[in-house]
Amino acid sequence: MQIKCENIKYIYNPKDPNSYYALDDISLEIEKGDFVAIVGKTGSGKSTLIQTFNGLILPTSGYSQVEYFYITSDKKLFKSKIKNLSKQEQIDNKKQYMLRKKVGMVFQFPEYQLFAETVLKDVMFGPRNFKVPEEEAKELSKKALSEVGISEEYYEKSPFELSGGEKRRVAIAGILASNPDILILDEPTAGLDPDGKKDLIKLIKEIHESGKTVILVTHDMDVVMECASKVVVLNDAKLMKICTPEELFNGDDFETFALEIPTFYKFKKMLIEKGYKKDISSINDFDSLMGVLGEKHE
Amino acid sequence: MSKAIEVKNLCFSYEKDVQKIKNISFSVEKGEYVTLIGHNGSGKSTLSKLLCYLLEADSGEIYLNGIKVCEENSAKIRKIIGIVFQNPDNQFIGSTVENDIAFGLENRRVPREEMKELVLKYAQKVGMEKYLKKAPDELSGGQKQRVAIAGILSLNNEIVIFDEATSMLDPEGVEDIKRLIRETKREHPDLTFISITHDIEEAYMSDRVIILNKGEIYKDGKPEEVFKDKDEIRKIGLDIPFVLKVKNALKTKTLQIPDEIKNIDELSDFLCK
Ligand SMILES: Nc1ncnc2c1ncn2[C@@H]1O[C@H](COP(=O)(O)OP(=O)(O)OP(=O)(O)O)[C@@H](O)[C@H]1O
Ligand SMILES: Nc1ncnc2c1ncn2[C@@H]1O[C@H](COP(=O)(O)OP(=O)(O)O)[C@@H](O)[C@H]1O
Ligand SMILES: [Mg+2]
Ligand SMILES: [Mg+2]
Repeated sequence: MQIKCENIKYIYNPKDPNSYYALDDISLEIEKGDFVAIVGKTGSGKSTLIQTFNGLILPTSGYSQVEYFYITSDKKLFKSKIKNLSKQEQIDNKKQYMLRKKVGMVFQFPEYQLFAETVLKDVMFGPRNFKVPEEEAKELSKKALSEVGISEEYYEKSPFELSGGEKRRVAIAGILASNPDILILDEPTAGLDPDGKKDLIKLIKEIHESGKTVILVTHDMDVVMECASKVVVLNDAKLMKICTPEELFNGDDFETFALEIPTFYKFKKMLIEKGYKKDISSINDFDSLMGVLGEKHE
Repeated sequence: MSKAIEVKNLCFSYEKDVQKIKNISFSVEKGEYVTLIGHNGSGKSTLSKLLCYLLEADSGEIYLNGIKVCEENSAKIRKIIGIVFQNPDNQFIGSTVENDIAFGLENRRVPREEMKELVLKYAQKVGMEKYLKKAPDELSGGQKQRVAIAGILSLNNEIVIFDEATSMLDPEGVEDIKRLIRETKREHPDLTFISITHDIEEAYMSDRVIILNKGEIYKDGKPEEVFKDKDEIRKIGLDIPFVLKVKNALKTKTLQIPDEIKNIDELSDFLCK
């Protein structure tokens, strides 16, 4: 287990009498090397949950754990958890700098966080912040920029003079350049053109295959279908389900979670409901389905 | 004059010698629902800002309802065309949701009572009526987008542009807004609606698709025509709609699907027949 939540609850404004739980008693475990998709409708708590993994949000009760880092605002619990750690680990736990280095987070609208004078400087900020020497940081940044499809002619441009999709790509490069062990992305494909989306998914998959843990918050079920090994479904601050994508898409509790089923599965379900003459229930990919539909069709 | 938009030889560059809009010409009939698609940086937002006179063309002409887009006509232009921007923070002007929706109406000197009614009516249409007193920093990105949409629709412009106006909403929210647009178009058949989007399924359902590529019009026509040649679409980094993918795949297996079938509902009916 690399990441764990144990009975975490979170309230944004505890003093407000009308406040409610943004996270309500969530427990889960994520293994090193998992590719996890977190899904659920707007306001279900997805962004709140992942921010407990890099310490930006401290659970009101319960704790999140990332390797030897403990994240909670319950001081007693925190003390009892770090008590048996080594001296250095205890120091790391208190500073959280190492946690930020371990967990790279691409926020929901990362383009709003661009600030430097030039694209290249903006991307270099991450690695420089983690004390990577100037030249190396530059190389890492150039590599990351090319991975997200931003060419050299953009390096000296101001990030504010980019199109929406270009800003998104630069912001993602900023995180990739720091080379975190755990990569968390909050709806990274919104606003990207189809190729940009495909390239980004391919890149994330490669990063995953190189041994990293990837956590992806997304509304795009095609992405879930293609990438995730595990899906976490949130609804109204509660954990509904942890399952595989196939289990989720072939199941029938979709509407309850207000999720958009991938077009492929929508189509397959329609065919089954309308009484298609062959059994297609166990087919889970496009080409095989086309094979059956096109098979001696008279 | 039944043309809502007429664009002739339009050119634009942000920096000298780097043209981002390259000699574009097209026209849009009143009441058309046009989707504008293209890769990141192809010039979609730039073109839409030129149409609204938020940017000034280097050369070429634009007419909205026959009125030339230029400094002298800028007040008239603002009455004809409204835009919802890609980034809702660029749009939020009022200190509260209520004030923000009212802003455009105030500029048009709509009487107070009527204005109040309109603000409530349009807040309800986008599901934001419970947030009227909230400040922008208390809203999520998707909620700001809803407010921006309410503000524009309340003005009843003849031409409305949505620049990825629902990019921050969840699928249910996107559906709500699509429904709202359909309703509005039913009430005002003359509304010319231009949607900038990366959603090719939406493009496939519109009246007409214009594809921009590197500042030029790459294709312009009915969705079936525009998406017909898969390789040409793939070449510029775009994708084709699901129904067409199925049609193409089955064609290679010698199963022809009639042209008039446009969505998976009709498609599954046909296959189960
Ligand atoms: N303010 C600006 N100053 C200089 N260049 C700009 C500015 N805004 C956009 N550009 C450039 O103009 C080109 C077109 O940008 P535009 O925003 O129109 O693209 P778009 O098609 O809307 O892309 P996206 O799908 O990413 O929103 C891009 O190359 C972009 O980098
Ligand atoms: N900064 C904040 N202040 C107060 N409430 C918030 C804040 N951020 C989120 N919330 C609330 O917490 C809940 C969960 O939000 P969030 O985690 O952003 O959901 P998601 O990412 O799934 O859309 C929502 O009800 C939202 O309104
Ligand atoms: Mg979120
Ligand atoms: Mg744009």
